[in-house]
Amino acid sequence: MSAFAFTEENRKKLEALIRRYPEGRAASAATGAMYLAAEQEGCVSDAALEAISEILSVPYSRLWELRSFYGAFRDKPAGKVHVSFCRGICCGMKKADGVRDACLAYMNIRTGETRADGLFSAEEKDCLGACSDAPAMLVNGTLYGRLTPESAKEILKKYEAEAAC
Amino acid sequence: MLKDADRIFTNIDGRSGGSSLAEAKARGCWSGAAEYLKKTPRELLETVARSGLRGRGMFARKTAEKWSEFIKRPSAFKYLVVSVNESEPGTCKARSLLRYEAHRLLEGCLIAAYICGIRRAYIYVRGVFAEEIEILENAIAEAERAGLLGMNILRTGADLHLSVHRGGEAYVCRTDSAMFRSMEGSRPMPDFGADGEKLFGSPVLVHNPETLCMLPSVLTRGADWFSSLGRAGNEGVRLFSVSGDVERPCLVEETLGIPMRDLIDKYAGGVIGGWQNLAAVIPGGISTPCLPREICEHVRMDYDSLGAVSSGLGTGALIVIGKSSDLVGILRRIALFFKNESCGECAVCREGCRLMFDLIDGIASGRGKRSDIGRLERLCEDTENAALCPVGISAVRPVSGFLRHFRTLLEERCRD
Repeated sequence: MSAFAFTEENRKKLEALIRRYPEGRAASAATGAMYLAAEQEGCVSDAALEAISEILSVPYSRLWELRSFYGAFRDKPAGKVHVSFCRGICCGMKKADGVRDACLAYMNIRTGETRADGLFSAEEKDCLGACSDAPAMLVNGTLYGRLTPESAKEILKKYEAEAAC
Repeated sequence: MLKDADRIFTNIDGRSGGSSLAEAKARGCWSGAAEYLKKTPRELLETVARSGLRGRGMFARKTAEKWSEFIKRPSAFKYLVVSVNESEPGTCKARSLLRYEAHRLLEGCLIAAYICGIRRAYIYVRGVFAEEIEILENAIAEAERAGLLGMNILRTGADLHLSVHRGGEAYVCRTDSAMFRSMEGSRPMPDFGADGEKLFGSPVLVHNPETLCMLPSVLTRGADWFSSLGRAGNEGVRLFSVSGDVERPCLVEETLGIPMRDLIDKYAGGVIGGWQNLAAVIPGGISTPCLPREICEHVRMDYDSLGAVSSGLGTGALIVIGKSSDLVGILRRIALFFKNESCGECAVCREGCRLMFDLIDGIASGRGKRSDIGRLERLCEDTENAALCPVGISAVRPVSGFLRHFRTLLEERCRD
């Protein structure tokens, strides 16, 4: 298992997070710490859980439970460009499947996969909360709405070009 | 229609700027704070009681009643938690609310906390709203610097420490006790123990962000103004989102009790292909039972009117479904959502949601039998009766609503 350590900056952010909760309730910062770890290394690895466990004095097993429960965390790195497709009701009505399939074909992967070169990864999420802008997708956390298969591919191309430089 | 002068959310579409303090102040946020913080909490509670404000969340309780009970709970330390865990498909308000009206929410938090004697508050935001969380955190920091939050607010002696808690992704956190466990760093599962309804061991008041956003206007413009909007028992305004098969999907503020048809026709540009093309409307997020066209024709959008037709106002998020959309396919998606989101604490909900999905999936793909519909009906009844928390009940309601109005559509799909 490779080692994991928070960067100086993230360590400070984590300490600020812990201070948001009452004395002795550092466990509350667990999800926050996992978001920081995900930001830093693209996923919440077992090593990151160990580091968090030590800082917060929370059992490793409990953090593992959280990581596996929430849809927000992954244990293996996502691609440089990570796409989440909405599979909500409204997006479904607005032909989100077509957008998804066109994007997947462009990225040459299936949902839940990361491309071998590590550039793209994709997943499906339940409702992204953008129903009036259906169909919607998230690319690296940024929301894009009212997509067509063509416009979605254009967005991916833009990210691809950025990731290449 | 609601007059522009009566609007509470003056910037819900982001047309007049962002969420910085200066812009928010220009729109009237925080303007009355120095005034009403001089009054006693009891006087303010009286005003809120006269306004008739009801919670915009799941239970729609009278806010003042909820507070009176909460104030009586004995504890030196109490918390306020604002639940922005919006994850019900069809609902798309939280993003705009946090982006464009963050200060209105903060001011509402201050008012609720001041009246109920709370000094510590958290805003629980669904993790996927990453950009919105940043905006909200900036808004809090700005308000603190301006002395509107923190210690000794506006030199009135009132304190309120407010922070954001970024949650994971879990629909079950709509259940209060599950949300508290999530905030304490445990798996979010409904907790029915003796301290289940407490956060960090202290009593806690939970609110929907929309309810809190109403408060500044209620106090500055008066209870009489607020109760003059809407209808008796359903006073005030509400945010409605209209999505699905309409010409212009939108998020609008309107009075409670506005006819559903007006909302669809006047704000959302009407149903695609005309009103005749309407098949059904889900009136308040997918956990509310859908309504057929005949009812949509005349029903009003408030708690009591929708309750009377065995549906509910829910989150106030309309999903308009045209005849060209596949209703059974939509039901299948709904069942899939609940199958994924059942937390697994009680077997009734976990297995019930899975079985419901399997049956509906079978029927939708033409493998089902007519007897499956009867099984589905019984399953709905059992799950609704025995599920421990609102998630199980929410999973059943859209299915039983569908069976009430559109049973024939399922029968047509069966192979016998």
